[in-house]
Amino acid sequence: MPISSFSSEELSYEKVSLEETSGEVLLKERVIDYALNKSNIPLISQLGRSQHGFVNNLTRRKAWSSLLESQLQLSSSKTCEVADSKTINNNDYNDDSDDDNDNVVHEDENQVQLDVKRSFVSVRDVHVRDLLRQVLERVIISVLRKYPQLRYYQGFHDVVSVFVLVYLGDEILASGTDENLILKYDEEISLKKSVEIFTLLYLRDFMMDSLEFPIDQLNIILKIIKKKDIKFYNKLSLGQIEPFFAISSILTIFSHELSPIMDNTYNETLFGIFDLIISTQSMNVPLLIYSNILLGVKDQLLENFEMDIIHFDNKVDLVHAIIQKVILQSIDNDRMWKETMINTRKMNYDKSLISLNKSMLNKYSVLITTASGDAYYNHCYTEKEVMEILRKEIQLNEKRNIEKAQLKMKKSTNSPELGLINKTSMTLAVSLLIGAFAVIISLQRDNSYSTLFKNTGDSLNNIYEYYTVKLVNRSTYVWKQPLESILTYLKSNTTS
Amino acid sequence: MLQFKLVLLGDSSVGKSSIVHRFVKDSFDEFRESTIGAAFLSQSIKLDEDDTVIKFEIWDTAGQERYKSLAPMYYRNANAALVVYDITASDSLSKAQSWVEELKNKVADDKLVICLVGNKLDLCQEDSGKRSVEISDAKQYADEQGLLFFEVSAKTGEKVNDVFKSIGESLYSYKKEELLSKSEQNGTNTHGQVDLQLQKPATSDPTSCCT
Repeated sequence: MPISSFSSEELSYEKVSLEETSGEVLLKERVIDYALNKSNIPLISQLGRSQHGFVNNLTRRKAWSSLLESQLQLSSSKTCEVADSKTINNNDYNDDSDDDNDNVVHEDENQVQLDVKRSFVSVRDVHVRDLLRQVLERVIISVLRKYPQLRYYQGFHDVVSVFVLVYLGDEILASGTDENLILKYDEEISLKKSVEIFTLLYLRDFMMDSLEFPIDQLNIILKIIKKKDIKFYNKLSLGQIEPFFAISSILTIFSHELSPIMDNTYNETLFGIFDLIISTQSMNVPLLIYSNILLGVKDQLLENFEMDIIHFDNKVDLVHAIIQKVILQSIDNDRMWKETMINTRKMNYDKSLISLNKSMLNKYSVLITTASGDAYYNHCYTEKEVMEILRKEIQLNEKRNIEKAQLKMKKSTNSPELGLINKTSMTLAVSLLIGAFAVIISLQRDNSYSTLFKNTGDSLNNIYEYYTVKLVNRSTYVWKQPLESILTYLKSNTTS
Repeated sequence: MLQFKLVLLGDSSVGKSSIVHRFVKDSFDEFRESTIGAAFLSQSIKLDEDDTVIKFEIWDTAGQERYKSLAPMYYRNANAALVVYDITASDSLSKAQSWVEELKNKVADDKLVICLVGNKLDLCQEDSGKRSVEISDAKQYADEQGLLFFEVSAKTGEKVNDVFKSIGESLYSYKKEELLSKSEQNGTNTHGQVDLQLQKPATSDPTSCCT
């Protein structure tokens, strides 16, 4: 189905012939090499932000490492190491003795194994797939063991698998002899370091103990759409819908949808997304991309909306279902991606995003601190700074979880039955009072009235007091306490 | 055609997505990638009775505990729930039981059809030592709770269609009851009419779920 709603921007792409493109790419590769040799970080990030990103995986992994290491200075003694590092030829990294966490199993490792077992499903070669899975597992486990305060989420493995392919995909494809393995493990050390930095600076919000902060991020998508196209926003009732439809795209940075396959063109799009994120030090990129995709496939969405509205009488399900359906249909549409990336590059510089983020997110969110897109020139965090941000963000998340649990409790005690009492508390209180008098009268028949009346006098005064003071304030419990005292008294009186 | 919303719940790696793919696409992959958030699929079946066509709107959810807070959004308004466990992993049955409990507590509709499904039957047929949940135990639990119950294999396809057929039949019989009582009220004969909306209306309150 043609994408009709794109602007004329894409035409510039159409005009570029294949030879021109490959010439451009070759030239760009040389410029990237030059920038890498000179360690010119501003130039490297400039190159990653433009068309074709870092061009191929060889330049890409060098560029990612340079950029990421310029964004976070890990203390050398804490270089990410694996517990089973015996097989690694690691002369440069032999000071792992002071890192005790490496051998302590992380609470989420079981889930990691379940997901790793199901990773790289599109890689057909069993040997290659096994190697990729082994590396993937080692990298994830090493990061989790080093930072036990981070929680693993299903989807983190998809993100890390992108890094595995960029850093080791070519080598693993070419492997077969032991000599190659040594080269590969050297790459594995820089792979781990990059994943570690990317996790701390970009994915932190997703690795808290709940989905609260990721959901906050998803809500930004709705705000962007509202700002860009209010009619479309209203038509789909996006103001009343929680944007869970975007959760897998955002949490996996599209690596779940564009699941990376070796020798597949999808990879260029996917890797290009990561190029843009890392070069701009901005986690706005996935949110912008998602918003731009929705705006780009607007016509299909509206068409499906009209078509399916009779099948669903629940708008939440309808919108969720059609978005998922249309996005899946468009995911391999090259033209849609090119247009989306052009728009995203432009919007990523939009300063209004910063204030939007500040109004919607916790103040330690990656979108406000370490991956805000606001400080891409030479901003380098120290490990200490990032650990402090992480600690505070975890604290804030815990606070939020507690608040949420309290709210839930409040809601469940405020069940419909109790609401009824609230409304009719006066009537109920009066009928209970009548009931209480009936008990008193029945006791009178048993000749216990005279003693009782004397003693219940206080309780009756109590009731009167409560009525005059509390009933005015419409308290639900207005009748409870004085009646309790009567009933307790009566109980003790009748049993004695 | 009758349309029903069905949600799949259960522990990670018990085979929820594999069951859905067997039902929707009649295919199986030994290693199916993890579901993140939830996936939507739909599939229709024809019931023997009256040749009624039933379309299932299927919401397949992620199994990891942290995605649990999203589940109400998927089981809200559901007509049926397929609660899956792995017959080779006893922990997964207790997870399934806690899902059943949650559904019973949170879903107001007493006509919600819940089906307990033990998956990976093929593994136990190959090697009976692999079984760690006895069929009698699960069946007894399902009976006590008034659930439909099946042991299936997404891999071989055994009993997978029976699950959906049996859910469809239950839903259809509820629907017929509803129709009958409606027609009695209206004094009209609606026999044979199938243009129905069984789903409850959407709630416009965005905080009604998952908060």
